[in-house]
This record gives sequence, structure tokens and C-alpha cells, in this order.
Amino acid sequence: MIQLSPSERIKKESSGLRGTLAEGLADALTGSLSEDDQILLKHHGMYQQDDRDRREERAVKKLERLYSFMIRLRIPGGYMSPGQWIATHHCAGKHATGIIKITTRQTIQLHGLLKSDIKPTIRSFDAVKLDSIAACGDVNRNVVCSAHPSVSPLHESVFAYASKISEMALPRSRAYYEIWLDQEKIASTDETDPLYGDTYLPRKFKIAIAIPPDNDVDVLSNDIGLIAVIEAGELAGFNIAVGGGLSTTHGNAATYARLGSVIGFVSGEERVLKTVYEILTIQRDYGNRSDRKQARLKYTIDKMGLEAFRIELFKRSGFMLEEARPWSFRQRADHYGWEQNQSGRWFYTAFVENGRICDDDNQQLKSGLYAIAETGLAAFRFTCNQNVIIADVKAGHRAIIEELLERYGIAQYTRRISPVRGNAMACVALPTCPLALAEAQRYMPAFISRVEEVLANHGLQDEAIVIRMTGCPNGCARPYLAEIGLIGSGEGRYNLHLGGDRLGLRLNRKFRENLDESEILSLLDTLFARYTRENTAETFGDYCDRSFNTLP
Amino acid sequence: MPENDLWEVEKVLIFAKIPRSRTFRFREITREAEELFTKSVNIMHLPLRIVQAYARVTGQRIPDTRMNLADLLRIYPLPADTAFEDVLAILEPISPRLYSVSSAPAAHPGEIHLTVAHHRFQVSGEHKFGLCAHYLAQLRKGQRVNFYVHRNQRFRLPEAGRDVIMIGPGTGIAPFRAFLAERNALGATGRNWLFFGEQHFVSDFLYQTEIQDFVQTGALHKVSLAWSRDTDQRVYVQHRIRENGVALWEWLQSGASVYVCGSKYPMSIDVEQSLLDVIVTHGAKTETEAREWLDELELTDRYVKDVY
Ligand SMILES: Cc1cc2nc3c(=O)[nH]c(=O)nc-3n(C[C@H](O)[C@H](O)[C@H](O)COP(=O)(O)OP(=O)(O)OC[C@H]3O[C@@H](n4cnc5c(N)ncnc54)[C@H](O)[C@@H]3O)c2cc1C
Ligand code: SF4
Repeated sequence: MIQLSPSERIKKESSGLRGTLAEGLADALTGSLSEDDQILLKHHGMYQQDDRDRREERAVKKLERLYSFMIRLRIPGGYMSPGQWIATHHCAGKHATGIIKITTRQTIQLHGLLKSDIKPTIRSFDAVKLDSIAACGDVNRNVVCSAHPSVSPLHESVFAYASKISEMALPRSRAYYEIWLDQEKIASTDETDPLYGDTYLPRKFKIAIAIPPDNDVDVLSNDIGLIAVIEAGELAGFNIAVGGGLSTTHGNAATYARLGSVIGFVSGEERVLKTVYEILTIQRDYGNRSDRKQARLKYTIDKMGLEAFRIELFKRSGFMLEEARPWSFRQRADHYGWEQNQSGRWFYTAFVENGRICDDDNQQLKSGLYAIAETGLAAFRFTCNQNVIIADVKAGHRAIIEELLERYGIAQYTRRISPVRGNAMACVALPTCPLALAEAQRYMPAFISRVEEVLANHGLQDEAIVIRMTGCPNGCARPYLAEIGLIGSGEGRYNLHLGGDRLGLRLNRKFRENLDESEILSLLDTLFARYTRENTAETFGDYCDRSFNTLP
Repeated sequence: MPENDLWEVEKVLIFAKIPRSRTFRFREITREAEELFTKSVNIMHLPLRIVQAYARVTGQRIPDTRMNLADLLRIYPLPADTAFEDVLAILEPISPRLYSVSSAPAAHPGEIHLTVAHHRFQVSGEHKFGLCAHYLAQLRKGQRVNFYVHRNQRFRLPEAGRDVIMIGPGTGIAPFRAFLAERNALGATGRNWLFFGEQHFVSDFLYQTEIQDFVQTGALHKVSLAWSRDTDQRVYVQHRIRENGVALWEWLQSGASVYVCGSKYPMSIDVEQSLLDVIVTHGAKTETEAREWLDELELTDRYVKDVY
């Protein structure tokens, strides 16, 4: 008999993700929740964290750790109305740290909520039709979708799939409404969940939709990637990629990053949804439930074999996928500045360093976005590169928005940033992420400044090299798909990965382990020197990949 | 017994123009000036009567305000014909400060713990601390402190089987931390109920981890907490007392003793009123009857206050 992982028992015994969350919430003695409830809490879109910088000081004072909660919203396709933005703005100020963080999955999260802040926060989000259901946990997470509307006249119809898939894969439990919104338990509703059963998925599950030529969503890093196929100006259907996933564990050789494998093409809404649904059920039934480090779909598929997986999918869906249609990507980075879509609406993409929306020396981003939301003349869309698009601006209103972007220094800052900074990404890491081994978002801005200097020494300041950093190998900022990936291995130390491509279609490889900043910078200095000397037409990532074995 | 801040003493010596090693006699003691002003004479926040006496002795017109001796000497310097001894004669000794002991012999043998509020206040825009609280906060490991034990014969734990209700917001928690530790160490069978309050849950929950442990191990049966600045409504312990009226009356009925410790105004007054309200509401008594009932409790040492 295989031993199930503890999470499996907790989910099963939770009576629909309820556990003792309500009791734990009412326990005034502590700012934390029980360990079991913390697992369930993720399925409600929250994580319990504590300020690791303050553990010692508080222990001396006989105070428990400074527990706080992170709440992540479910925003399929990353779209918010101005009213929703205003509510989020106030909520962040009243109940959280004030900073609104755009995640790498097109949603936003707030940090630093106390236990007593959770209910008021969820209530104010609910008032504007926002929720955090299934934003974390062993379920399908926020469904992401290419953010730049200019690339395709069909953006709207493709984007609609994000919501449809998200709704289809929501847990049926009403626990969220009962626990956080004090809604009555409705005895008559049948909560039997045909998709998730009572043990949900073995592990988190991620779905992305890419609209070529943009791969801003890093589609191949997802459990399911849908690549829109547009033929003669019509949405023909989607190529389906399965088994992408980046997280690994230091010292666990059985874990690896994997790109999604394209297994075919499917058209028609019903069939597209059915395909996604049955891939979820295969993972539900075959995924590893005893070892969480082997539980993502990528391992399920590699254990079954891709062919067996296809056959199983056919058995469940009742139809064969067609042969994949041709597709290609040309860009992964966000399109900063103004763009217009086919129907004449304007969109402005603003740079948000590491997704942190706040007012700082560079720009008054938070105040500016608030002012824009107040006009009611623009909506907001978040990108998987952690930036924000001020969206749906009518031609006649562009000047008003433009004036606000200038007044709050947003336009100036977006114009000023270097290509590397514009392409850089870092995860949350210290001090809140319990898994972090090293700094990431707190340190990345300064690190990029140093890299900019090194690049400039080699005349490479205009290269849009993709640099990504995470505090641990879990890989939330997708460092394995960067040209230069830095993965925290200990305090102030990182593994250096090289050789990813610019479009997110090739994984990089580990080049050196456990380097400190000066080692990284001097190594990059040497590599940039070589790269310029070779004078190749390749990107830095392609160059590193080709000459990987001969690099110094 | 607090000592004065060395810089404050230094200023007194400078403005009074006296060498630090000159000896003086103050009340029964003869010491060198520096030591005398450090350990014996109150030079801080002088009461009005002393400021007025200084005005008389030095023949100056000084408004009725309290101030430190150093400031007095600086702003209204000692005339050449006034002997410093005459000033010394009107000064008073440093008064001792009392602190509840927050440790218990059975749980912390050989130790005395105090729970001191390092209260900060502003004087004309400057941040200041109370003399003794700051003196204690600045102590270094190994430093010796002068103290004596003042016994309070009434504020004692009852027999081991009796239930105890402890109401101690702020530093009022001090004796109850000792009570709980003692009862826990001795395995007392009576139930314990703690009411505690402060401004913020996150930063001001005194002895939080110990209290959690007491609850976990069953040594503490009920805890009611009130945080006055965490929400728009200012919640204090007296609100929690009223909210828990039914249970509280039940505990009182079964013989529980009630202890109140902490600030006299307004806390102990508000708490007493809330106890009376509970007795009226849940004991079906008139206000006079409730008052008599509580007085009776006090006479039999089942309602004991140590408030300051
Ligand atoms: C029975 C009993 C038990 C007690 N138990 C405790 C206990 O467990 N824990 C505890 O913390 N306290 C306790 N106290 C109170 C304690 O004894 C002290 O009164 C308290 O610590 C303040 O003393 P201090 O020397 O720090 O402040 P002080 O210097 O005496 O100042 C007291 C107040 O005077 C005012 N003041 C002082 N200087 C100035 C100035 N220059 N200008 C304007 N205003 C000024 C301020 O409002 C200040 O808060 C207890 C008291 C009693 C009677
Ligand atoms: S990559 Fe690791 S350190 Fe960074 S946020 Fe994710 S889990 Fe935390």
C-alpha cells in the first residue's frame, strides 16, 4: 500500500475545503491557522506567511511569529474594470501592506493581511465581483491569456476562453461563501464535485492560452497550454500542449523542468473545453498522490508515455485530436507604450518593476493608476511579465489618460527603462515566502543596475536579454525559460542558468552553482566579452546554448 | 529604587557650579555630589511645592510649572549669595516605584520578573520616558539594582480548587502571569479565566506565547482579549466582561474569585461597573443589591484589586 501524502488526508477529511477554518478564524489567541487549515486555505486563494526577518526579535518578546496572509485573486485573463481597481486600491491600503503585486500569472495579490483582515478583505472584493477561489492549492489556478489585444482581432473571443475554462474548473464547494462571506449553508445544494471529487488534484495545475505571435504567457511552462490558431482571420481552434512545468527541488534529481509537448489540434468550443476537462481528469486519476514532488502533470505524462496519454485522452473525450497546425512566436516581452487594436481602442503598457504597484522614487504608479481608474475611461489588464496595461481607451480619451500618465511620472519611467530591466522578472522570495533561500524581488532592481553597467561596458545596453531570478528552485518567475536564470541556493547565492531562448521555447541549463554577486557579475562580464567578440547574429541565449560546453 | 540619568546629573552639577566630588549632607546621608544626585535626590519633574520653595530661597519670580532641577538652575541661576546647601535642603528624595512581581516561586525559583511599561510621552515636542521605567529598560546584564519587597497580603491566590477570574489589561497582567505559572506548576485544579487588553494584537499581546502554551496544556481555561486600536470600535476588557456575562455569572455562582490589576483610572472603575452590570443582568438583582453583593465578595477576599 502506497502511503498517501498528508495533504491528501487533509483534503479528503475537509468536508469540501471547510476543515476547521471557521473555528481557526475565531481563535483570538493566535494570528495563525492550524497546519491542516493552512493547506485548505490555499484552495481559497490564500497563503499563511510570517515575517522571517522578525522571528528572533519577537521570540524574545514572547510574541508569536508575525503571521500574515497573502491573498491572490482569480482574474481569468487578468482583466479588471476601473471600479474593481478602485476597490483593490482601497483594500490594499486598509487591510494589507498597501502594495498591490502583479503576479507572473496575470493576477494580483496583496500581502500582510492579519487574520482579522481576511473577512473584510474578501467582503470588499466580493462587492465588486472579485474572488480568490482556487487561486492557489491543488486545483486549476488562474487561467492566463495573452494580454496584448493589438496582436489579433480575435483577442476578445480567445480571451473569453480564459473565463470559460476557469469557470468549468472551479471547485463546486460553497465553503468560500460560507466561511468568508458568512453566507448560509444551503443544505439542499449538492456539492458533489464531478471534476475534483473530494481529493481535488494531486498538485497545482496551470493553464495558459497564447495568441501567436505573442508568447507573453510562456505557454509551454503550463500543465496545459492552448496556442490559438488563426487562419484567414478566424479562430480555427487551438494546438494543445501538455505537461509543461518548471519547478524543481535542489538535491532531488527526480525533479526537472519540462516544456509542454504539443499533442495536437482541436476546434470548436465544446471540444476545446472537453479536451481541457479530460486532461484534468486524467491528472486527477493518474497523478502521483504519495509524493508531491512527483505529482505535477509532467511526471504523470512521462510515467505513462505521451502516446498512452493521448490514447487515454481519446478514451475519455471520445474524439481524436487533429494533427497540430503550424504556429510560431515572434515575441515574449510586453509591448511598452501605446498600441491600438483593430476596433480603434488604445492600450498603454506601463512598466512595473517586479510587479510591485506602489509609489516610489521612480514613479507614482499607485496614485496614477488610481487617478486613471477614477476617470472611468480605462480598464486594466495584467500581463504575465508582471506589467499593467491601461486598456480599452477610446481615441477621444487618449489625451486625458496620457496627461495622467505624464503627471504621475509613469510614462517617463516606462520610456526610460533599459531593455534588460523591461524584460527582467523576479519572484516574491524574502521576507515572506517560506521557501525562499535567497533574495529576489527586493534585490533584483539593484542587481539589474549592476548588470546594466556590465552590459554598457560591452556596448550591449540595447540588448533585450531576458534575466529572471527566483529565491528557490520552485521557479515562480519562470527562471528556467530565461536567457540568464538565477535560482537562489542560499543566502546571497544563486545557481546560474544559461541558454534559454528569447521566446520561451527552450529551457536553459545550469551553468554554475552557488555563486555570489561578484562571481555572477564577473562571469557575465567574461561571457558578454566573448559574445561581442564572436559578433554573431544570435541572441545571447542562443549563443550560450550553442557554445554551452566551451563557455569559460 | 531608580537612579537618575547621568547626563541629567551632569547638567545639575554644571549649572549649580559644584565639583562632582564635593560632599554634601542630604537628610541622613553624606555623599559626594555626583553619587548623591544619582542615587538619592529627586531632580526630575519637580513638584510645584519645590519649584515655589526654590523661588523663595533664591528670591526669584518663577511661574507655577513643574520642571527638572537642571532646567531650574539653568533658567533661574543660583544667585551668588545663596548657598547650594539651602537648595539641597528643600529637595526631596527619589521616591521608590512599585512593580508587581510577574514570576512565581514554583515556576521561576530564585528569580524575580517584572513587567514594566516603557511608557513614552512628549514634553514640548521632545520624547521622554518615565524615570524608573527608563532606568529599568537601560539596565545591562550583571548590573545591581536596589530594591525592596513590598508585600500585599490580600492579593494572593485562593485555595487550589477555587476558580479564578483575572482581569489585567496592560501591565495589569503582571501578577496573573505569576498566578498562572504558579497554579500550573503546582497543578491547581481550579479553573482560570484571563481578561487581557492592550492597543494592538500584533505588537502588544504581553506573554502571548506563554498564554498560548497555558491554553494548550489546559492550565488556562478561558481567555478574553480586547484590542482597543485594531478596529474602529475601541474595545476594552469591560466590553468583554459584559459580552461574557452568562459565563461570568456562572463562574461567580460556583465560587470564583475575581482579581483586578492595572490602572486605577479609568480601567478599574469601568471594570467594576461592568461587573455590576453582569450581576444585575444575570443575577436578577437591583443595582443596590448588586453593589451589596460585590461588597460582600470584597469583604470575603473574593474580589481583590491592586490598581495604581
Ligand atoms: C501597587 C502598584 C503596582 C504597580 N505595578 C506596576 C507594574 O507591574 N508594571 C508597571 O509598569 N507599573 C506598575 N506600577 C506603576 C509604577 O510604580 C510607576 O508608577 C510607573 O512605572 C511610572 O514610573 P516612572 O518612574 O517610569 O515614571 P515617572 O518618571 O514617575 O513619571 C510618571 C508620569 O509623570 C509624567 N511625567 C514625568 N516626567 C515628566 C516631565 N518631565 N514632564 C511632563 N510629565 C512628566 C508622565 O505622565 C509620566 O508618565 C505600579 C504601581 C503601584 C502603586
Ligand atoms: S520561486 Fe521559491 S522563493 Fe520565489 S516565490 Fe516561488 S516559492 Fe517563493
